[in-house]
Amino acid sequence: MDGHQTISAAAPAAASPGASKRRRSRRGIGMTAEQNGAAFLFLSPWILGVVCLTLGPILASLYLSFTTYDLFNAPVWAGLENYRRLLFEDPRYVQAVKVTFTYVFLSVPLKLAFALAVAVMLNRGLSGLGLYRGIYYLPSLLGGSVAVAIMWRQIFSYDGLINQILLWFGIDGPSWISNPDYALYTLVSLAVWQFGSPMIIFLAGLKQIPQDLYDAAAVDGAGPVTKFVRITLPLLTPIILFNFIMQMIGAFQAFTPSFIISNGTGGPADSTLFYTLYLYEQGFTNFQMGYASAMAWVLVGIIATATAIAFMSARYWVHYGDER
Amino acid sequence: MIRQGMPFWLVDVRPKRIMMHLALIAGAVVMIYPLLWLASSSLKPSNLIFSDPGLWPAKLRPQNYSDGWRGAALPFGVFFRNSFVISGLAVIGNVMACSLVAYAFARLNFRFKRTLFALMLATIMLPLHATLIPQYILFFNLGWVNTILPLIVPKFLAADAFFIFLMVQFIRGIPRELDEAAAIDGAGPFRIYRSIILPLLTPALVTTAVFSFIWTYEDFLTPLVYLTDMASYTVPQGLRLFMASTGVSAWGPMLAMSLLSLVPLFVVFLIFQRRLIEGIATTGLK
Amino acid sequence: MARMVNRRDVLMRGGAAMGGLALAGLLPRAGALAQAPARIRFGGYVESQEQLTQTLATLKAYTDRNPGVEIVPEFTNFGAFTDKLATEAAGGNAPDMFSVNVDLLGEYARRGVLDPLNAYIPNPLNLSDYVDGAIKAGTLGGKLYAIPNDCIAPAITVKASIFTDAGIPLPDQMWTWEQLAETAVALTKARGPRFWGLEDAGSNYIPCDVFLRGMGKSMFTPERQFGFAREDLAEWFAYWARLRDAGGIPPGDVQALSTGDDPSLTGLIAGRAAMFISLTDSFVGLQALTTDPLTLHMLPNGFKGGSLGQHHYTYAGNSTGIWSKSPHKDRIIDIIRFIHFEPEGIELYYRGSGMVPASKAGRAALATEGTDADRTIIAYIDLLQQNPAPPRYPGITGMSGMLRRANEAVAFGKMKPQEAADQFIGEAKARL
Repeated sequence: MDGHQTISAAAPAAASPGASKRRRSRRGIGMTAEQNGAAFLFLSPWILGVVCLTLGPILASLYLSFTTYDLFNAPVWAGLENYRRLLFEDPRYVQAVKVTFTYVFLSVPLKLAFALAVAVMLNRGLSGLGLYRGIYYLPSLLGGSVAVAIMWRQIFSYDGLINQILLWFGIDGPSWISNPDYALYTLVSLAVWQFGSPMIIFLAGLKQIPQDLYDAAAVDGAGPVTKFVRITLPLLTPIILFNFIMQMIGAFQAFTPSFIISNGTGGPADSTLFYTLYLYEQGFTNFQMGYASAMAWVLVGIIATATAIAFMSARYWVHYGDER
Repeated sequence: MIRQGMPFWLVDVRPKRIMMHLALIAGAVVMIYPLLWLASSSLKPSNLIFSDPGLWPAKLRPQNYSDGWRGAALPFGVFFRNSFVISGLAVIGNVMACSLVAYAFARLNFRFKRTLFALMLATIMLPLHATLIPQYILFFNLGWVNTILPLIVPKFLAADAFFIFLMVQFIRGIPRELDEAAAIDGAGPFRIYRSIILPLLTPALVTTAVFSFIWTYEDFLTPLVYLTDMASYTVPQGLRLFMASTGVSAWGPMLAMSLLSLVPLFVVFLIFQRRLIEGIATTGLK
Repeated sequence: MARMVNRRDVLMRGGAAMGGLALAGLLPRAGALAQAPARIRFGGYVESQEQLTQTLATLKAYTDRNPGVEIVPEFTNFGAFTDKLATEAAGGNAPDMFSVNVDLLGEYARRGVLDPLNAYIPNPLNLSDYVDGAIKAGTLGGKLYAIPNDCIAPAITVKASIFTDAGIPLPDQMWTWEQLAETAVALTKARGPRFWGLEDAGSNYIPCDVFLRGMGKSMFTPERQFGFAREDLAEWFAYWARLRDAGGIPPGDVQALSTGDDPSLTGLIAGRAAMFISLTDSFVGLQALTTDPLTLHMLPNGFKGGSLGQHHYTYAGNSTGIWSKSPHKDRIIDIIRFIHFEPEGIELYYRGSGMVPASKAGRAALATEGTDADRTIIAYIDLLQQNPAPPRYPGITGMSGMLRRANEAVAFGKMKPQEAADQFIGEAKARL
C-alpha cells in the first residue's frame, strides 16, 4: 500500500517540473567514480565500434567535403569552394532544400498524429487487436520496395484509383504523381501511409505504463479523458520525443521514396528532388564526390540544429520516470 | 458515487465500440488495398499487369510463383536463406549491444556522458551515401569485402544508434526506486541491468528485435556493395535481378517473389508482437 | 597403375598443340593460358532473365573447357550496377572484367579505370565485320576501351494497327520532322481524347542527336565537345513545345508518367500512344508486353526543304571492358574471344538474350535461329547499314537527367525553349 501511494503521488507530481527538485535529496546510491568503470564496460562495444569502424569513414567524409574528388583519382584540396558553390551558386540545391523541408514539415507531424491516435485506439483492449495491429503495420513492411513504387504510381496517376474515385464525384483530377505541383504530396501521403513503425513504438510505450496507475486513478474518480491527459500523455512524452526526433531525422534523410517513384530523377521538374537524392546524383552519377560530401555535412548541420532545438524544448514537456 | 462524474457518452459503450471498429476497418482497407493489388498482380501474366490494372485478374498465372522461385541464376530459396541468416544475426547483435549501451546512458553517471550521447546521435545524422566509399575502403583493407562481416559486426558493436536511443527512452521510463531497492540489497550495475532493467524492457527489446530484423532484411545498398558473389545475395538483391530496363521484365515472377518475401517479415512480426501485448502488469514494488 | 586420362591431360596436350599453332601466329597466347589458374570476377548488368541465364551458361561452358579458371559472376540490374561499380572502383576493388555502356565507358576510360585493348585487335579478336558504329562507341581518343557485345540503334516503335484503324498511311522510312509532327497530330485527332499520336521525346538525347545531325550538327564531336550552337538546341525544345500545343504529344504531366527506362510505363504499352521513340534494344521487351504487333521505323532524317541523309548511327548498348589493374588480362581476352568467336559461345550467349550481335555473321546466324522480334530488329539494323551514319561518340553520364529537366521545364510552362537550352548547356558544359 505504501508503494501504491508513492506511485499515485508520483504520477501527478511528475507532471510538474518542480517535483524533480524535491526528489534530489533522495539521490546518492552510486558514487560517480565507481560508475565510470562500470559505464566504460557497458559502453565498450559501442566505443570499439565507433573508434574502429565509424569514426574513420566519418572523418574521411568530412575531409572529402573540402576536396574535389571524382572517385578514381586522388582527392584534390579545394578549401571552402564546395560549400561556397553549394550555398550561393546552385539553384537545384535550393530546390532540394525547399522540397526536403516541405516534406519534413508535412510528413512528420501527420505521421506521428496518426501513429499516436491509432496506437491509443488499439490499446483499449479491442477484440481483434493483434490483427488490426498487423494490418496497420503492413504498409511499413513494404518499405521502399519496387512493388510500392508501382502501386503508388498506379493509384495516383492520371487514370489511377484516386482519380476514378474522384470521377464518381464528377471531379476530373490531374495526374497527381507526375504533376510538379502535386507530386511531392503523393510522397508525403506515402510516408504517412507507412505510419506503422512509430505506431508500434507508441504501443510499446503505452504498454509500459503500469495498469496500477489507471486503476488508482479510477479509484479517485478519473474518467478516460483525464486518464489520457494526466497519466498516458505525460508518461508517454519520452517516447513522443523519441519518435519525433527519429522521424524528423529520417525525413530529412529520406531517399528511397523519391528514388523509386521518380526513378532516381527527382522529377517531374525537380519537384521531388530530396536532399539526399541530389547528393547521390552529384556523388555517383556526376562523379563529384567532394561536392556531395559538402552537401552531406551541411545536412548534418541542419539535422543537428533541429535535434538540439527538439531536445532543448524537451525540458518543458517531457517527463521521465527517473526525474532527479 | 464513482459513477457520478462519468460523462454521458460512456453510459452505453456498445455503439462507441462499433464505431471504432468501423473506423479501424475503413482505415485497414486503405492500408491493405495496395497489398491486395500486389497479390492480385502477382497472379496475372506479365503483359496484363499494367494494361489491366483492376483488382480481379482476368487470367490467372500461378506459374509466376514457380518461375520466380526457380529464378534465372539461383533458386530464390538461396536468397531467403542468406537474408534470414544476416537478419537473425543482426537481431542478436542489436538487442545485446544496444541494451548494454543504453543502460549506461540511461542509468549510469560518467564523465563526458553528454558529449558521448550527442556523438551517438550524430552518427546517424550523416547520410549514408556520404560515407559509403570511405567505409568500403576501410572494409576492403580489412579484407571483409564479399563476406557478411560488414553487415553483422557493426550490429554487435551497437552501431544502430536508433535502438540505443529507443532503449534509453524506455529505460528512463522505469522508476529508479527499483534500481535503488536492488542496490540496497547489494546489487551492482550489472545485476541491476540483468535482473531489473532487462525484464522490464521487454517491449523495447521486442520492438528492437522486430525492427532490426525487418530493416536488415530490406536493406539493399550495403549488401549490394559488400556481397558480390551471387550465391550470397539477399532477397532485395534477388528481386532486382528480375528488373530489366530494356529486355523483358519478368514482372509477374518479380511481384510474386516480392509478395513471398514479405511473408517471413509478417510472420516474425506476428510472433513477436504477442510479447508486446503482455506488457507490464505491476511495477514489482513491494 | 594405369594413369587415367582426364580432361586436364587432354587440355594440356591440346594446349601444347595450340602452342604449336601459336608459332604459326593463329592463337598467340593460348599456350601460356592453358595452364594458368585464375579467379576472374565478371561484373555486369543484365537486361532480362533470359540474358542472365544465357550469360551464366556461356561462362560455365568456358570454365568447363578451361578447368582452373573460375569465373565469378556478379550481375544485377543496371541502376544497382552503376553504384556498385563506382564504389568498388573507387575502393580499388573493381571486377576484373565488367560491362559498360557508351557513357559509362566515356567516364571510366577518361579516369584510367579501363585499359585500352588495341593490342588485342585483330588478334585474337577480329572485329572486321563488326558494325563500325559499335566499335567507335567504345573508342576514345583513338583507343578502344571495350569490346561491343551487341549493336543498337535509335528507332521509332510503332503500333501499326492504329494507323490502319485510323486510315492514316504509315510514312516512308526517309521522312522529315515536319511530317512526323503532322502524322502525330492526325493520329491524335483520329483516336480522340486521352490518346496521342507520339510520345514526347524531348527528354531523350538520342533523338536529339539525330535531330541535330539532320541540321548538319551533332551532339558531341569526336573530341568530346559540343557540336551544336545554343539556337539549335532551342529549336529542339521549341519543336516539342509546338507539337505539345497542337496536341500531337501528351501534356507534361501525362508524359511524366513514363519515368525512366521501364517499358511497361510507356504510353505505347499503356495504350495512350501509337509511336514511341526509343532504341532497338527495347523492342523485344515492348513486344512482350503487348499483343499488338509492333514494327520499327526510322526517325525523321531531315527537314522540309533540306536534304535527307541517313543519320541513325548504330552503337553498342553492352560492351565488356577490362579493369586496368586486373592481373588476368590475357585470360579475359580469351573469355571474350570465346563468347564472340567460338560457335558454342556465340550460340549460348546470344540465344534468347534479346541482344543483337555486332558482327555481320552473328546477325545472320541469329536471323535464322531467333524469334520474329529478333528478325525485325536485324532487318532494321541491316537497313541502316546500307548507308551507315557517322558514329556516336562517348559523352557524359547524367545527360538524360539534364535534358529531361530542361524539357519538363518547357512542358510545364516554367521556361522558354531558349532558356531550357541554355540551362542544359550550362550544366553539361561543367562536365566536359
